[in-house]
Amino acid sequence: MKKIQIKNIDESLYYEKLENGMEVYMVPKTTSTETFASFTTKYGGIHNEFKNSDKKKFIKVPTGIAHFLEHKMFEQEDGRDPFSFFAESGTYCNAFTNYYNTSYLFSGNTELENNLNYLLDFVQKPYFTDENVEKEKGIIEQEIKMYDDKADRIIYEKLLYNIFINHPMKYSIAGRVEDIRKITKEDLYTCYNTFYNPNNMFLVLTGNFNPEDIINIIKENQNKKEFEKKEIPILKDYIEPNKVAKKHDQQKMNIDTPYLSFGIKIPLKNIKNMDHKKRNLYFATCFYYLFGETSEFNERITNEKLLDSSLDIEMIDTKDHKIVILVCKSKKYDELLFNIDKHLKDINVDEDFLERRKKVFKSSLIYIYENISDINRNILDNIITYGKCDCDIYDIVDSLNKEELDKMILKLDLSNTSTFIIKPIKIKE
Amino acid sequence: MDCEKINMGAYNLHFIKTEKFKTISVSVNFRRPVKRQEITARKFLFSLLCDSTKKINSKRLMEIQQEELYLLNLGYKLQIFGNYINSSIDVKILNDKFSEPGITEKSLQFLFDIIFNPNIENDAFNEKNFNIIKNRIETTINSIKDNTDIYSLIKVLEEMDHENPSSFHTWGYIEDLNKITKENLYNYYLNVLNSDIIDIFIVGDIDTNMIKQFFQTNFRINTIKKQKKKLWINYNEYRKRIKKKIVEEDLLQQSKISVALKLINISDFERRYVFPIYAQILGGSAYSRLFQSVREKHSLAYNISAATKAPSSIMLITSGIQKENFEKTLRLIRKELKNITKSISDKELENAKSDILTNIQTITDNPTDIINYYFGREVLNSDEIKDKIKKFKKVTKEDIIKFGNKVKTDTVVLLCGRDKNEKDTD
Repeated sequence: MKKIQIKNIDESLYYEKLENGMEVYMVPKTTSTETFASFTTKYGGIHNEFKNSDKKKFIKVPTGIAHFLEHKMFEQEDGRDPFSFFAESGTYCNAFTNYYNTSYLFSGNTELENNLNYLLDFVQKPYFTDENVEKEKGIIEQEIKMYDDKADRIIYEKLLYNIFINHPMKYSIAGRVEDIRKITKEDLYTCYNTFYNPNNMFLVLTGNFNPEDIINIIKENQNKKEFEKKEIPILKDYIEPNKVAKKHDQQKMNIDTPYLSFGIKIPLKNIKNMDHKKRNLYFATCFYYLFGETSEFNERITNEKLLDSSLDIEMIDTKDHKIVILVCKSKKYDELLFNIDKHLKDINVDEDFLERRKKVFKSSLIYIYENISDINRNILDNIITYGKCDCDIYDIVDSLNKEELDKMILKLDLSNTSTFIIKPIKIKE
Repeated sequence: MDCEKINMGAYNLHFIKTEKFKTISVSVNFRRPVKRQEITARKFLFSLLCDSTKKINSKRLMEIQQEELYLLNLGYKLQIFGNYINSSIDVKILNDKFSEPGITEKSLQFLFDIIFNPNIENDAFNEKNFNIIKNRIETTINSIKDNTDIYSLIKVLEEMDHENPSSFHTWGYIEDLNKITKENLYNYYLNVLNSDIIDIFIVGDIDTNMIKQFFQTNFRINTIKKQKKKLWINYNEYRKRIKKKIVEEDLLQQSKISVALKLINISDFERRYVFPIYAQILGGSAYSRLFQSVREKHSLAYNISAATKAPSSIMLITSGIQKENFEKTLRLIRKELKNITKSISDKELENAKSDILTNIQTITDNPTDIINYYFGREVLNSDEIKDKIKKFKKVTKEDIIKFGNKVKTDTVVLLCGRDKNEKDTD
């Protein structure tokens, strides 16, 4: 087991890769009374076409299946569901599915050994029947319909649908109702057997424990089980053009103030050599400089009443593109869009701003290391996005400099954009 | 973890000194009896105070200053409990050890400027900032309907009794917003400083003497106030026939059923200890009765839950369903309300207690929970952690069953789409 000091934070990360390929990351924090554990497979909402290394043909499964599978993992052969198991020790338990991963988690302050064993056991023991798969369809349909009424969710999903042409991020993680209806227990087993192999999974524990004890519990648990030796599944590679699928689109909903989203699809081709994490810090710097709450632009559009809420900035990574999304409420969305578009040409980050940004990056890391669920999520996200957990983020932040940033800015192609507007049914006078 | 309470005359300072955290959290709380017509002004005021000060006169400059102070977190909160409304200004900063020497003092000065040195010109708030916040609040109020979960709960409480403080909410009211001027809001500000009861909580590795002195010099309030009005709302009668109301909106994919229930003649012990366990068993988790029946057995919903509003003696049940399943879902809810008055298993009781006890035992892991706990001790007269644990453990199945008979369904609202949905014609 490796112990790595996290620079400037006063905490350490413990890491070990088990014989079966599963990776374990641990940050003990004895000031906490609780422990937070997450068990993740690198399988999410976008992985709908894949094959095992020994097969020729790609398998295509319905959209929404990773999320459906997550729901069904809570069905166990002995009829006892994980929620009631964890409830007995007052332990919180949940799961979530993202584009790139599915994670199962618990947090609690007692019975750590039992809970950890149970987490490993229930996720490593699927039980799908025709009957329990059918039953879930009505529930997930209601979940999708619940999201369909949420403008603050639709505004992202519809924009991504219009940004991508071939990439599966075009579709929502929950999938389409018509696809959900087609899912069978065989589909679920296919996906499970492909992606829930230990060599495609990792555990993150943060909180009050001794890493040596924990690694022994995990090893003992895994050694009792047999897993088919498998290569990492091969995911279909999508050739995604730089242009967007649709430049402008809109819909009506039962809302009061219009929602606007503006997405930029930035090709990474010219800047792929740069360290991924560093590149993302530069991207954040650029777009907070342009549109963040400390920007003059943000102040101006607020004063001119073009903006009726905060202006949120979101960023998504794909293999070939960086997607930057601006979302807000605005009654004067046309005028605002005109201003955003014009302002994009104006990235000229000054030294003071960059230095302040570095302070912000470092401070936010310390805030994260205050709370065991935030630490856990941070490690999980880092592994999914960067394939590793950086313990030298301070050094990366320190190395950011204006010269390198300016060079990167020159290479950015910001010409591929898409907008989505949600209008109220009744426009006020 | 101990709390040192210092009576500063016009306000209380509560110090919770601990080395557990890398941060220092400060929460300045103002409270008074709630009046519906004041809520919007109150929201406006606290939003405006956090938006700019005399020295730092725009939101942009405030944000820059917060970043300079190592990403100081600033926020305000409004909360109605029973007959009272509490507003807090909350600040979280990095301990000097993780930033630089002197940051705590500078951050406190920033907080005091927010409270005592607002952006005032000629006995009125600065017009430009006033108008920005007015527009934001107007958008927020008008957008309540965008969130059907919140909207349906507001509706059911208003249908139950729109004059009762338990139906008041902190989003604000458009009719009151239009009456607020930059002049009368300034008067309200002075009134809050002079009339509200103030409690300040500080959690972190702090130099208590330094901070106490700092407050003595800089926190300039000297009017002494006492809590007069009764905190809890109680009911001793209930509607014999349930009130049902259908609220139709355009273009909704999913309907929301919301049920408001009154707790009749409950004791203090029941409010604090029996009610949370009862609600947990009924609809507090994925293994609760409502979840198991409405979602797992009948696949009618993705989620269903029961929430407690203990100071108001109210429970709320809510779920997202298909419109045609309204009566069926309501029947299932009522069936579970009845069943819980007949029998409860040992396991249900123990699981619910375990959940609640874990939450209590882990309070000390999080500065916000610590502040909420000591706020409860001060304002709601809550028990100490060890007594809470003892009393929760004492609750029996019979207590839950007896309590279940005091829970009376009052009003049901179905928020749903119109039968003929308009199509997008654009």
